[in-house]
Amino acid sequence: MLQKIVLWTHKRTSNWQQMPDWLSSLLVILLAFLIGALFIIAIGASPLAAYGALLRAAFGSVNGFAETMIKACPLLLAGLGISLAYRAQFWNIGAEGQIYAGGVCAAIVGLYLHGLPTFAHITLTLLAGMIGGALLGFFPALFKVRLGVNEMITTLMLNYVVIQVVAYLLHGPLRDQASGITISPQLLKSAWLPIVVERTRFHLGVLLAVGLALLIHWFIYRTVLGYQIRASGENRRAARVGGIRVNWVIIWTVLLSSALAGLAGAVEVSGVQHRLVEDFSPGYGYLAIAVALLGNLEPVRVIFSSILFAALLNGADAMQRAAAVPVPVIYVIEGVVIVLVAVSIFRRKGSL
Amino acid sequence: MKKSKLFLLLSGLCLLSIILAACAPATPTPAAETKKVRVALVLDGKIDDNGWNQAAYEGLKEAEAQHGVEIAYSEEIPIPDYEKALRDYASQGYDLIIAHSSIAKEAVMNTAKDYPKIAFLWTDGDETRENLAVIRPMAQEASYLAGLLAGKITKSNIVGMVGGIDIPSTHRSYAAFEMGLKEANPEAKLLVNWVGSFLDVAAGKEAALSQIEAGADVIFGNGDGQNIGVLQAAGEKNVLAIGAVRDQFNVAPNVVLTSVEWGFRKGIAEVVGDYVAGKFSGKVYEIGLAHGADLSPYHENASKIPEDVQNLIKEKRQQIIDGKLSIPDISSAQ
Repeated sequence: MLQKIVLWTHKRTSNWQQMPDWLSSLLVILLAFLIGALFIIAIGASPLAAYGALLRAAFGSVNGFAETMIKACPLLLAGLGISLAYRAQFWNIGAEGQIYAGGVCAAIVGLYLHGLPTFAHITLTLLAGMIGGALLGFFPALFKVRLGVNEMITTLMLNYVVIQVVAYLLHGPLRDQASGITISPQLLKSAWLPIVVERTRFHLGVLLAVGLALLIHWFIYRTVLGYQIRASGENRRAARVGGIRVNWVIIWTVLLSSALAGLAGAVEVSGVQHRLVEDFSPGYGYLAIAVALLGNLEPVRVIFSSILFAALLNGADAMQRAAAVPVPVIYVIEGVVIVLVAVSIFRRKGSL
Repeated sequence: MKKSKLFLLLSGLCLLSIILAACAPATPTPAAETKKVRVALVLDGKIDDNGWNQAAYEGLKEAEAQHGVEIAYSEEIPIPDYEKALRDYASQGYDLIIAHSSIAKEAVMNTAKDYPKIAFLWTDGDETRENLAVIRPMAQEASYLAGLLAGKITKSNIVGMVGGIDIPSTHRSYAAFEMGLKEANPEAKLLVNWVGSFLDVAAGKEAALSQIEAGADVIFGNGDGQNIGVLQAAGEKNVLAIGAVRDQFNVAPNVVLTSVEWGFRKGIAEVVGDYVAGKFSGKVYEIGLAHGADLSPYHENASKIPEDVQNLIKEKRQQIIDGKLSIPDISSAQ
């Protein structure tokens, strides 16, 4: 009997290995929610009520949906950037810093470039954010290809540098003197991303981000550089032998990747906060790694995974209110997703 | 083999949680009631912070008890998320939404503009709309009384004030405190520190310790979270102290003589009462002694205050309430 079960499981699992990866992503999410449910039961609340409240808050009203989408927006943009870099096997964990760098540059352009028409001002503000992010990504990329310095360390460490620089700027030159707290003055109105859905904060940046996801899908699968990125990631040596200038490809990939993270910061500043605020990114750059991995580094799927994580963030306090389930349960779910995604990648590839 | 074990483990967990989920009690459906007025409160700190946020939460509870409203609150909402929290409540159709923050101006104005049919209350605000009322805590009266107390009780003739951020509401409290102090004791010197934060407990403590070092024997903590640090420092050094915003006796029972209460508890209950009675309008509620701002009771430290000082304060307090004495509102350094 036992033997039969073992044989049966063995047969199943070998099939399981051939499971399409979208299905495994869905299973990961399901499993994470189930494990979250265990915690909710353990504290004596009802998982159905808790998850119900979470879903209602995240998607149950126009405003809730809008709030979910504006949270998804920076996650999506940074997640797209991370997907690109990871496809080239460049382990960028500096998206958080790149978001802040992008936010600062966007804020400076939005604050001080007077007299521009709205369209031009918004474009310049977002471009400044992209340049800020890209600049921050450039150095780790350069160190990687020139000196072989591990990019995980350089990108991670730069995060702290940038966040401190932002704090300095907000305590010093960029501070709004009229306000009691460390925030910059409001951006000029011409640098605000327009609101798309009346009476909510749903801004144009969300549509822009979704559009970019489609564009990047096309870029990865339909352009020469996209092909080269994939080839360099799959097997560096083979790509090199095949005539691809791998170092050059890595630098371009990282520039694009960090520009996207910078854009995430710019969109948050110009679309939501309308000023530079000290903690305007509550760890979007790190969460975006999970977003990218759960989306299997596929731009179109990253759209959905970013919405999922945004819904968790957005619905968390509603869940706390309605079902008396503390917010950290959400972090458990997020953590389980991350671990399981790592496991499923391990299962597919044998290693990261 | 390894993988199949993992699979077993995971599927086992799956099953277990499904079973447990099925066992969980269903949510009780609330019995249909007549529609209650729903009031929501958004806070940037915890409801038990012994100060700013607790004062507002107590106001909400009092409103619930007095006016039978249904209440909800969100605590620890950072400024970048403030507007989200307000919009959350607005889109759920709450009737009255209270933003308890001196610094969330745009969040309040934007949300109030987008939801003209919902009433908003901004505590410690400086701008109203048709659907947005404002509480202006007029703490100068109680602060003046606290100044009298400090002036009478100091032996070193050095008194310290550690403020949070220098905004109108804290400034008028500071100015009136100094006025009372000088009136009671022309010799007394006031050391002034603004730590530039309403949350930084450590900074408040540092500033208070340095004032104690400089010889201050009464310390007035004037603000929000940094007050906790101020009072802790005083408690450790056994130096008399005066709290603010809410009765802060609990923070350091050995030294806290009294606190300058800003009156949020009664103030918020008053506004909710007006709403329930259909009298809400976008007006400014000035909360002074007559509306619930006051000096807190002396509790166990009453014995440290001489009878004649207690009588003097009682007398001045009555004069203010009767309108015989008015304390100027100096809300900025000009």
